Amino acid sequence: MDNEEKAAPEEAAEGALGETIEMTEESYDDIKNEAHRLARELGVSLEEAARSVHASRGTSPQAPSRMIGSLKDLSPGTVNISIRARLVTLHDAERNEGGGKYYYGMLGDSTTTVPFSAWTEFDFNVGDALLLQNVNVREWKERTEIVINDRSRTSRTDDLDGLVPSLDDGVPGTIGELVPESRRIDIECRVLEVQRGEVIVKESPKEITRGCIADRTGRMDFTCWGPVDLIRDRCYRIIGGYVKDHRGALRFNFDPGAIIRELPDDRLPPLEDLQRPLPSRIAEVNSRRSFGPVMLRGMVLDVRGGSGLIRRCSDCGRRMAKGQCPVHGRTKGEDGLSLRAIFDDGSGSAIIRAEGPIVEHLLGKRVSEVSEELKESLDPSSVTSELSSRLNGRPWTIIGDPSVDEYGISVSVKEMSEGFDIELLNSDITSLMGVLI
Amino acid sequence: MKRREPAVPVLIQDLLQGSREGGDGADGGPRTYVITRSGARVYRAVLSGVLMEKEDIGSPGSPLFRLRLADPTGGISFTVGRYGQAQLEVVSRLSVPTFATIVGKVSFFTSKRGEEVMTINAELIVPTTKSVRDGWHKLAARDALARLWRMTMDEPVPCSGFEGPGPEVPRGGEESVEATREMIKQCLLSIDRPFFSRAIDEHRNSALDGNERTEGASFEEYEEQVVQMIVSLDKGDGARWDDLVDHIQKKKLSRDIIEEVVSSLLDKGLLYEPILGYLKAV
Repeated sequence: MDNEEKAAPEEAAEGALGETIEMTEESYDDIKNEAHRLARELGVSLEEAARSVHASRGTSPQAPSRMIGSLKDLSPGTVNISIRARLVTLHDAERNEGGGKYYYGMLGDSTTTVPFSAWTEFDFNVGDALLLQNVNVREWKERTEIVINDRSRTSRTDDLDGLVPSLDDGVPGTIGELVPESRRIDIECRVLEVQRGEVIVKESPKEITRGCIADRTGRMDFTCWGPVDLIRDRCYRIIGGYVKDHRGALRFNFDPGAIIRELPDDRLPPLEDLQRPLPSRIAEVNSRRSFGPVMLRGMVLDVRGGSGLIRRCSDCGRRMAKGQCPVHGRTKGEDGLSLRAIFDDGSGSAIIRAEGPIVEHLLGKRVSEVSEELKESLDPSSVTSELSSRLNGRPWTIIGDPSVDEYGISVSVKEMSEGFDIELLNSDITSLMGVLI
Repeated sequence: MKRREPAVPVLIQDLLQGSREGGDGADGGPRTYVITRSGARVYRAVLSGVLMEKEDIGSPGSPLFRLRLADPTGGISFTVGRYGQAQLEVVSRLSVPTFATIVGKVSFFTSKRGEEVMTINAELIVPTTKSVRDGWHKLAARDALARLWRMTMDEPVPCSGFEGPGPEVPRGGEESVEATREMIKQCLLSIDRPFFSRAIDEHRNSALDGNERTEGASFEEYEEQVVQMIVSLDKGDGARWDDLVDHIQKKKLSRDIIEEVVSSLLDKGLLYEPILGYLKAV
C-alpha cells in the first residue's frame, strides 16, 4: 500500500523541525522561524535548514512524519506518522506504580476503527475529528494500535473528508425494528456477551468477534468480521453492517469499519433486565425472530414420538438410532431423557424440546430410575405415556431459546413450570376493564 | 413453513354465537372457521368447564358417548367415539359432573330438525381442577377483553402480548359488542365476584369521574336515584323493568349506567327480583 501513503511535504518538514522531550512551544516556534528564514535566505529545502538549526542548537531533529491516508493502511512498527481520525471511544486508567493516567479507546475513519493509547494529556471528546502527528503504530495483544506519546501532537481538525460522519447525525433505531436484509444499521445497544473467535475464510484463519447485544425491544446475536473493542455490559451506538437470517434467527453482521461509539451506562436498562427472558407469544416470535430467550405461556397439546428414554452417544451427546451415533457410528452410549411436544399459546404452536434434568423434573424421577423401571416393564412407550398424562392439556410456562425454520418454530426449553400466573391475569384483566364500562 | 392452527381459549357462548366463515388455513388449505363475537378466529378451540352430561349411546362394537361441557356463559354438546380412542379411554373413566378441559376442532352438523349445530371434535380431554378451570376462563376473558379493546378503543392495549394482527370483525356490530361485554362480565363475576365486582366499580367510578360527574351525580347518587325510582314505580309486586326503562328515557339518563347501577344493587342485595322482569327494593 505504499502508493497510498503520501508524505505531506509541509508537515513532513514541520516534523523535521523537531520536538524533543524538553522542547517547549516557544523553542519549537523559534526553530521553525529560524529554519524558514534560513531556507529562504540560503535557498535550501526547509528540511535541510531545520537540520542546520538543530545542529547549531544541539537539539535532535526527528524523522519526517509521514501522512497516512486511512486507518486501514496502518501497519505495526510504523513510527512518526500523521493521520486523521475521529475519536470513537475514550477511557482512562491509572498507570502501574502510580505513574499517572493514560488514555485509551478507539479511533475510526470510513475504512476501519483502530484502538489507541495516549501516554500524555489527551483533552478531547468522543466524536472529535483529530489530526494526530508523530504517532507510532505497534502491535498490542495481536491488534494494531496507535500510540500517542509526549512527542506526538494532537489537534482538532476541520478536514472531515473521509472521516466517519458525526454520530449525532440521524436517529438510532431499535433491535426490534430490524428485519432480514436490513442494511446500514444504526442502533443503540448493550453488549450482553462478547467473545473472540477464529474462523477459516478462504483457507486462512480470520479473527472474529461475536456475542449478543440487546435493547428494550429485543436482543440479537452479532458477528463482527474482525477484532473489535467491545466490552460486556457496556452500551454502544453501532452504525454500519447488515442483518441476515441465520438458521431462522436474525444475526447482526458488521466489520471493524463500523462506527462504534460508547454511550453512557444509563442509556439502556441494566444487563440483568435485558438478560431476562422476554414474555412473548408464539405469533410474535414467528414474525420478529430477533429474540434470545423468551417466556411463553400456553398448553402442551401432544407429546410426540422421540420423547422418553433414549440413548445418547457417550462422545458427542447426540441421540443414537439403532445403536448408532450419526457421527461416531456404533458406540455403547448412555441413557438419557428427552421431550418433544407441541406447545400452543392460542396465537400459534411450536415444538418444544427438553432434555435431561428438565424431563427428570417433569417425571419426578431420575434417568437411572426410569431405566430400571423399563428393564422390568420392557415397554418404552410407558415413559411417553407418563409424560403425556403429566403434560397434555395443562397450562405451562416455558422459558427457552426459539428458532424458526421451514418446519416452524421450535423452542429449546431451559425452564418449565406448570400453572397460570393468576396475578398477571388479574392485573391484565383489571387494566382492560375500561372496555367493559 | 408448515403451520398448525392454534388452539384458541374461548368461552362457550362466545364460540356458539360466532359466525361460520370459510378461509385459507395456516398451511394454505381451505378451512372453516368460527369468527366469535369477541373477534377471535377459531379453527381449534380450548374450552374449559364442567362436564355435566355423559350418555353412553354406543353399541357393543361401536362405543359412542354424548357429552356436554358447560361454563358460566353456556354449554356445548359433543360426542366421542371409536375414532378418538385416547379420548374414549379418558371419557369411559370419567364420572360427571367433573371439571375438564377440552381441545378440539370446531365442526358443524345438521340436526334432524334441519338446524345447523356447532360441536367440537375433541382431540384432547383432560380432567382438571376448579382452579385450573378458572385460570382458563380468566385467560379466555382476558383475550376477549383485549380483542374488544382493539375493536372499540383508540388507545393501544394496556397489557403486553397483543401487538400482532388485529381481531376479526364479528357480525352484529354494536349489539354484538355489548353482548360480549355482558358475557365477559358474567364470566368474571362467576369466578371471583368480590374481586371483579370491586374492579368494575372502580373503573365505573373513574369513568363517572371523567364524564358523568360533570352532570353532578356520582355512582352512589345514581344508586340512590334508582332505588327511589323503583320504590316510586312499585305497585306491590315490584317495579316493572319496562316502566323503569321508560322512566330512564323520560329523565334522559344513560340506560347503560342505570343497568350497571341495577346490577350493582342486585349484587349488593339492595334490590331483588321477586318475579322475572320486576325489581323490588329491600
